[in-house]
Amino acid sequence: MAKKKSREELEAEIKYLRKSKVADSIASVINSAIKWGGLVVISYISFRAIAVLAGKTTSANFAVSILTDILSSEFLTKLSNLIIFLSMLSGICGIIYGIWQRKLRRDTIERLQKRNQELEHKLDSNRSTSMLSPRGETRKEDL
Amino acid sequence: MEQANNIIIIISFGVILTFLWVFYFWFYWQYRIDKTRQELFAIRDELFDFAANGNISFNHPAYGVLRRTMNGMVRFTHKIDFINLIAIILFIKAPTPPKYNFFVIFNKAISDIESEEVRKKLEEFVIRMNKIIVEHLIKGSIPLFFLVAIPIIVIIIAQGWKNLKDTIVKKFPGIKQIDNVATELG
Repeated sequence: MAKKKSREELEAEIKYLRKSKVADSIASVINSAIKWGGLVVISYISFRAIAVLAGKTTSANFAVSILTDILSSEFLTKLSNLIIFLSMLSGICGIIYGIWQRKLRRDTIERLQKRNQELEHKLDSNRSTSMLSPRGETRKEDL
Repeated sequence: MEQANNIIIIISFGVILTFLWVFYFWFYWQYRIDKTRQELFAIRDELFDFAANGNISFNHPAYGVLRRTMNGMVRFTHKIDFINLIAIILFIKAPTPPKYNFFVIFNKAISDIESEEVRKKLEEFVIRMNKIIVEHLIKGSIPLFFLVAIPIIVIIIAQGWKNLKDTIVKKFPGIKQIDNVATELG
């Protein structure tokens, strides 16, 4: 039979669990703030910049007056170059992501097929095979 | 005409930043979770095979706590990040109750194992599990990346990537706290 916990032990346990819950909640709030705050900042600046360029906003507002100063034609030319760079970066990120996903899928196939093969072999010793590689790839001889 | 072009430039910039935002917070972050889980599953399978081969009983407390901790990590991989680690270190100041203290339970459990080889192998599982978590923390955290990118690059150049993970696992107490929380949740 398990030893009954003393009142102090139980209190210490509750205190620990409560603190770990507080830590989790705070981290959750900060993570959400970083995540959604980023989107809000992108949207806000884009919206304000468009409003300034369209001439629909006066420079009475401090933030808007800063944007008006920043949005010179020289700055916009630099921004165009940055957009070209970021577009290329996005494409490269997409390709790398695809390659990583494919590797992860093949790693998973490799891990699972070995166990699957062993278990099926126990039930059917004459079990036939597709002869694909352990990572689910076409064999060179079959090309 | 120039005004329209300028507006298009701003919209394009906003769209690309939004794309990168989606890429990081959805695609990349989900990929990192899947990858870490896959690695933890692989090591858990190895532990199972190690026990199935008769090295340790499935009912042995060392096997039990190790598997339970791995399960806790797999289940809550999505919560293991730099911000959470800092919060755990800052807010959980209370001593970890023995029930959730992974290293107390684990060290006590392996102390009655006679075979030195089995003990070493089990300890190796713990180190490997923690290395996976360190890798997840480093590769999956923007704040961590910006805060420690430069020292890490210097260490990688000086010692290599593998040694860096070893150093963090051995010297950084926060990793042990993650083990404790995983034991609690597993």
